[in-house]
Amino acid sequence: MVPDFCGSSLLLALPDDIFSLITRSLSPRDVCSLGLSCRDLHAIVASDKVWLAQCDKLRLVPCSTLIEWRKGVCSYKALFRFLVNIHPLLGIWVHQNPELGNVVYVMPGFLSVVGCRIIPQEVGPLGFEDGPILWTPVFEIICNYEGSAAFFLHGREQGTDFVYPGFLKSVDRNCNVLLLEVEPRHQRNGGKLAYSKSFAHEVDKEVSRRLSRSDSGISKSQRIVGQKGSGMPFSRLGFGDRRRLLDIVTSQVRLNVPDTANELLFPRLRNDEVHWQEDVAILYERRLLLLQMYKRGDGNNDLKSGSESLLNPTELGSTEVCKSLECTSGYYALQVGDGAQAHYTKGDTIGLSLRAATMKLSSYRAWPNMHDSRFALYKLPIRAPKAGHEYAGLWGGTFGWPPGRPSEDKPGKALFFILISYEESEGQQLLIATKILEGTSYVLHPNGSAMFIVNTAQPSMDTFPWDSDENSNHIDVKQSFMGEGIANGYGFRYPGSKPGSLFVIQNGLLVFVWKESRAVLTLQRLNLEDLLRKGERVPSLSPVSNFAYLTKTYSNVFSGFSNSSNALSSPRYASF
Amino acid sequence: MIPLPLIDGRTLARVITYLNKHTEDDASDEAKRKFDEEFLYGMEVGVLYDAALAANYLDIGGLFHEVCQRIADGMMNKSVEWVRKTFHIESEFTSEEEVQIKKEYAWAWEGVDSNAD
Repeated sequence: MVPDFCGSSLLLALPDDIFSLITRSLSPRDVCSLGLSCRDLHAIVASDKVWLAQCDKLRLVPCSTLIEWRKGVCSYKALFRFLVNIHPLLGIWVHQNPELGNVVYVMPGFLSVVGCRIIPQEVGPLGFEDGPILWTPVFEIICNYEGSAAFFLHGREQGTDFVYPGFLKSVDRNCNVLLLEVEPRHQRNGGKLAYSKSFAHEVDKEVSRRLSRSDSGISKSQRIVGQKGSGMPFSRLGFGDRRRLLDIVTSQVRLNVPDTANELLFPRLRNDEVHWQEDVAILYERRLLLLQMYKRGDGNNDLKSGSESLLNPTELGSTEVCKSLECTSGYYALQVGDGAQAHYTKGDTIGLSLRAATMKLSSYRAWPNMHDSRFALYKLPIRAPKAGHEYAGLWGGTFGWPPGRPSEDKPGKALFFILISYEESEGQQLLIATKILEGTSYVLHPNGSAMFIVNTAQPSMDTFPWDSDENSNHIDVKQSFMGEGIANGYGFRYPGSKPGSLFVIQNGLLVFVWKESRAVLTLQRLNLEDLLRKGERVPSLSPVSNFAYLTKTYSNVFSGFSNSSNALSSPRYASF
Repeated sequence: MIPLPLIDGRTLARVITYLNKHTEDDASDEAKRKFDEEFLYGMEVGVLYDAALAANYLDIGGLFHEVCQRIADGMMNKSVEWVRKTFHIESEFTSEEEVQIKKEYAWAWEGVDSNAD
């Protein structure tokens, strides 16, 4: 295919509609290659139409949303850059603790992505579809005008909601671990995304500074300007040091959120245009406010550059460390003292950072084996249904028959989230139903247990125990599979199993029946994003616990808000 | 405003050939696909572009999308150097401009190698 005469004029002669249709099929890299080749191509490649097509191809949000979001960014190219960077963050992230379940769903917000924790709860008064489901914000990454990312951690301290600005350090395309860290940050534009190599490569040598109390007289000009990237990476510090660093930094960077900016993080799911426009207007205001706060680095503390101020002296390592704190663009310089394990060059600024990394993790029956001392969330691979794997994906369930919404005379039903996946084992295909959230008040089996496993090639010999459901509709069993359901085993950690069957009935419901006890678990498909958009926000925990709850517990740690104005003492929390 | 070029005889003839094949009663989908492949495979670049414009002007959806895809296929996974060579482009960027633009697009090449911990 050798062109003869025209050069780039062929491409340049095309109307921009056609050009963007052609480039739509290209990868963003190929589009950029075109743009790098000459001035004219650079000009047409920069066109909004080209990048709208690329944004649309990502299929993260509908085209109408892209068009709405465009109003808040300088170009579709900037928006594309943001979307492609945060894309790997979308999905379900979990942590082992508390054992009742810790599910953080990361979804598109408003020119942002929002991580929402669904807390252990009972099915709401309006039933499955309309709950409303109870959730709390964990973090947010907002797209600024140039397409760069501004990261905010969410949390609640002393009865007030705060946001904790930080930076999005890097996002691996195939990330499976989301880490909250404290990292030195170089003086550069706030929020600009950088794809940095591992810390160790940037460090020429580890620099340790010893500060004694007599150093308090050193003026700013006498301080040595920090070299780029010196110091030990956060992940190599001991657990106690990491915890303390996170606590120190969050306490310093936190920003008070005015009530007007605290209502919505994303537009509610509504049917009418008017309400939707109202939500959008509120969200634009909120975003501008947060981005301004991010840039200014406003905090509760006054800027005290150069002067020393003794901060709540906290122990880092074995000796008292924090001597002074200096605020620069929202990030704080931490001068560490004798014996400290965290070494930061004088003049470095540090801040909260979010890093999505790829780690080799083993898993057992679709549940990853997690570290218990990292401030991290772990990604659950969600497979979409396809031929042979019709039931893959996220389901919501309750125990008891008939299923249906709770009423006055019936006690509340604990809400279960079940992830169905398929596994080949010894030549058989198994359908595995992993429990990732449980709404009881005290957990019976570990988080991530398989509630049931069935063999897709073995139909069940059992009949469905009931003839009709709560509306007296006849039960039509489409298919059934034989397998086993979870049962008490050897202690909490090692559940056993007992025979049972999975029935596929009308309306796309799955019902698992334990043969002996006749316990019934009914499942239906969930659209988590829609549920959250109709949901009810509840107070968060303190910031670091809000991100990764590391303490082992078997009860509902999110239920302690009975005195709040949201009247959360309702039985939905199933607290005791 | 870029005016659409008028369709020349050669291009029109090809479009008609395409339409004839695709409106044949007894042509199976398989046969049509085979025809499309051969039809588009041998086309010179200049003709491809003309065909795209013509199909757009005449609003022939099928042909238009086929041709656009074919043009795109030819540009996939190609380096900047290849683009310049193939399109006989001289880069008129100054070296500073080049550095600036490379920085502007650097993000598109990031993430090619994933960071392992």
